[in-house]
Amino acid sequence: MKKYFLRFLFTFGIMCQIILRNSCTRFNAEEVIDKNTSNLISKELFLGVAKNKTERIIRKMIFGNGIEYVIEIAFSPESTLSSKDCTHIYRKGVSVKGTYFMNVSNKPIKELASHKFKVTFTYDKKTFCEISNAKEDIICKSKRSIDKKWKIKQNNEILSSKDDSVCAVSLITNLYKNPKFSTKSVYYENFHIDFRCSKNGNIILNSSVF
Amino acid sequence: MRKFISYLLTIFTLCGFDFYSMACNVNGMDFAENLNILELEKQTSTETMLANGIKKKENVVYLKYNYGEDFLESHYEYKTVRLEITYCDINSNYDRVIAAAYMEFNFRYNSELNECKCLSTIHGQVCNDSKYDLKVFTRTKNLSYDLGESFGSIDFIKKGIVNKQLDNSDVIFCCESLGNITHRIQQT
Repeated sequence: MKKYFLRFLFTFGIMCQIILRNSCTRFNAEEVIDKNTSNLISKELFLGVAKNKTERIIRKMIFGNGIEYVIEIAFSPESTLSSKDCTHIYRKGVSVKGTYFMNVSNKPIKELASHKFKVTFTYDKKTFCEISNAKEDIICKSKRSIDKKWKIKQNNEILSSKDDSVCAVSLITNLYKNPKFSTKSVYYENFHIDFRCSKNGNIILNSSVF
Repeated sequence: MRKFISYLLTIFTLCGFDFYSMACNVNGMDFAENLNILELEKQTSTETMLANGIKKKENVVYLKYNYGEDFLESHYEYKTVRLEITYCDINSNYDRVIAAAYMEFNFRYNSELNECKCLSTIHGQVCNDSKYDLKVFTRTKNLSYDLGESFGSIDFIKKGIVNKQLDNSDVIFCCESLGNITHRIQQT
């Protein structure tokens, strides 16, 4: 009896530990939405270089007019393609999902509009980095709010260097609102993120959210 | 004894898995943080007196990004200008901060292609006193290919039976293709 009781205590203690630890360290978008900054609105100064990592970044921007923007950036792992003459070509992608919210005191948080963007770079680790097929390698989608009042417009452009060793894709989004009884859109906020990939597959991001 | 050892082994393996999952867990702050990328180019600050004993402090910080040798060939460079404005009440004992605002403008320029663009703007404000109201607006203003411009406006009023406007100014930052940024403030 004692043995079984000790066994039960052991396993129960271990399970409790694991469950508690995982619940404390789990990172989800809801925590980001609930998190509030100090009174003086400021943003973290954060810059990074992604080198062959598979990671996800979530950031939130708070504007003073009640609008908040939550962005989720995910890097896909490097994939290898080989051609007939045995040269290796690599591909790596970055996807972005951004959502605007209206967070005004005494009211529930309201989702305004969201957008998705995905870019895939092709490089050979020797001489070039490029967007091989813009129609397939750049995917751009946006979604209006349920009441159709808020919308996001996305503009993107491809920038390449003279020797094709660096390729950049620039994404600029603008948030608009259609007020009642008017067809004219009113501008509210904007956001940009530049993806730059070198011939070695190093991707950097320049964005207003960092 | 064998059972005790087997229990210990299971505990250690489970704990090992747990630490591994924690290490690989999503955490934005564990992402490669390289503060050498950002360089402080210039910083200026000015103070002006407004009506009703309000002092306005402006801090402008110019930042440049250096992404290393891998990305030098593209000739596209980035700069950020950050403008912080605070309004203080000098009639109080310790210069109490009534309101504060910040604006940030991000530029990209290419000296080879003679191109410059304001990519995005951010703004935020907070007002600690209910007798006052502070509104801030920013947006990009790229009217030409070789000149990137940004526009910001700030409106600071004292509430009352008749609202009194203490500060209403427009801020315009211009960046040229060589990366030189100038700014002008227009009082309206």
